[in-house]
Amino acid sequence: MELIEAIESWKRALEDCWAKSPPGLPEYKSRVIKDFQEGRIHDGDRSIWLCGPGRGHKHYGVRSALRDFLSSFGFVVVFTEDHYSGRLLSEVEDQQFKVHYLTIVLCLSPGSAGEAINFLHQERTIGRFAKLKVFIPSDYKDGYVYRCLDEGGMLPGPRILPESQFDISSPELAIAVYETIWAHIENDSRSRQLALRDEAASQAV
Amino acid sequence: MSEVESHREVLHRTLAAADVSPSVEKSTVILRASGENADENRNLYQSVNRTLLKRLETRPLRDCTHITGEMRALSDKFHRHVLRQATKQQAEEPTVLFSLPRSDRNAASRILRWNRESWGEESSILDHLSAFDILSQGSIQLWAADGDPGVQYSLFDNELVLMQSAHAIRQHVKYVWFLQSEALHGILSKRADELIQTSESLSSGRFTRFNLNLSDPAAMDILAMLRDAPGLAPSELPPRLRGHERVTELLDDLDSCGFIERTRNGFQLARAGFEYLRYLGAT
Repeated sequence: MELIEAIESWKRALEDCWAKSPPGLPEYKSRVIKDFQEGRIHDGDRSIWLCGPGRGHKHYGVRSALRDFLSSFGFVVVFTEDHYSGRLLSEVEDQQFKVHYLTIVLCLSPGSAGEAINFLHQERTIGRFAKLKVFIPSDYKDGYVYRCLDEGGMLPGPRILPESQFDISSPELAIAVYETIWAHIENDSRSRQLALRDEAASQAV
Repeated sequence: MSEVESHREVLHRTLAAADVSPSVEKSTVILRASGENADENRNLYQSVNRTLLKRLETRPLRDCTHITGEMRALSDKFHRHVLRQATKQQAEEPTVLFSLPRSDRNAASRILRWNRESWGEESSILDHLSAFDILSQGSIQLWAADGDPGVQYSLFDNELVLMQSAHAIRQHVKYVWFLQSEALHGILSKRADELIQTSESLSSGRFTRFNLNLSDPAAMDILAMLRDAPGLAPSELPPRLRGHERVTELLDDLDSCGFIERTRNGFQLARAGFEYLRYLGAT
C-alpha cells in the first residue's frame, strides 16, 4: 500500500470511529485537540517524540507513516535520529525525554525495547509526568519489557495490540496512538480546569 | 470557665498528648483559635491559607507537612491552590500522611472510595478529582499509615503549626489552633518523621493511571453511551470498547467516581455522571 493512500485510509478510519461516538462527543473531542494546539491547555512544548524501529527495520515504515499521520493533524513529530548529529545518543535522549510533550515508543525491535526500559527509569526519576506511552505487540505480553512497564500499575501501562496491527495496511495502531495522545491532552485540560476552579474559590474567600 | 480558658485547657491536653513540654507550650504564640464549630474551623483554615499564600508571594515555604486521619487538607479548594503554588516553587515536596487500610492502597479507585466516605457530602467529586490531580503530578509525598496517626497537625515554614484537638475518625469539626513556635514545630516535625518511617509511600503512578483512564476516549464513550441508554450490560458494549484491554478497570474507575451505578444486569449512568459530562462541556 502506498504511504499516502495508507495515511488517508487511517484518517478515514479514525473519523469513522469518532463519528460513531454518542452525540456531543465528536465535537468535544475536536475541541480538546484545538484548545491544545492553540496553547489553551499546555504552555510548554507541544511536540511528540516518536521512537521505534530505525531505518532498515521491517517496521520502520509504520513508524514513518505514523509521523505523517500525526503531522497531518498539526502535531510536530520528532525522530531522534534526525537530530543527534554527532552528540552522544544517551545525552540527546535524556534531553529529548524532558523536552517533548509526550514520548511514544513503538516497541517493535530490540533497540526500541531497550529505549522503552531506559525511559521507564527516567520516568521514575523525573516522576512528575506520565509522558511515556508504549505500544507493544500482544505476543510480548508475558515478556520482560511488558512486565517491567506494567508492574504494579505505577505507570499508565503499555497499550497492547496484535502484531498484525503494527502494519501500514491496518488503521488500529494509528487510532490507538491518536486516542492515547488525546487522553493525555484531555487529562491536562481537566487538570487546568480544576486548578482554575480552586484558584477562583480561593479568591472568592 | 471562660471560653478562652476552655480553649487553653483543650490545647494543653492536645499538646501534652504530643509530648510537648509545658515550657514549649508557654513559649508558643496562639495566632488564632477555633472552637468545635464548622464556621469557626473554616475561618481559621482560610486564615492559615491566606498567611501561606502571602508568604509564597515572596519566597518558597520551607516546609509543608500534614499529619492527618483522612487527608482532608486536600478537600479544601483554597489549600489545594496553596499546594499548587507551593509545588511550583518548593525544592522540598509537601508531605501528606493519612490513615488507609493496606487493602485499599494499590488502586486509586479504592483510595477514592475511601476518601468519598471520609470526606462526606460536603466535598464534590470535583474536589476529589482535583486532589487526585495534585497527587498525580508527583510533587507531593503521600504516606499511608496503618492506624490512627494520633495527634493530627500540619507544619509550615519551620515555625507555623496548625493543631487539631483529638477527634474521632471522620469527625470533621474540632478545636483547631494556628500556632507559631519554632520549638513546637521542631518537636512535631520529629514526631512526623517517626510516623513516616513506619508508613508506606504511595507513589503518584496510581493516580496518573486513574486520571488517564478517566480521560480515555473509551471512558468518555461509555459515559455518553449510558447517557443515551437506560442501562448497559458489559456484553452490550460495542466491540471497540469490549476489546479495550482495560475496560474492566475503566468501569471500576467510573464506578468509584459515582459516575455510573451497578445494576443487576450491568451499569447505568448516575446523576454525577450526567453532571460530569456537563462540566466537561461534552453534552
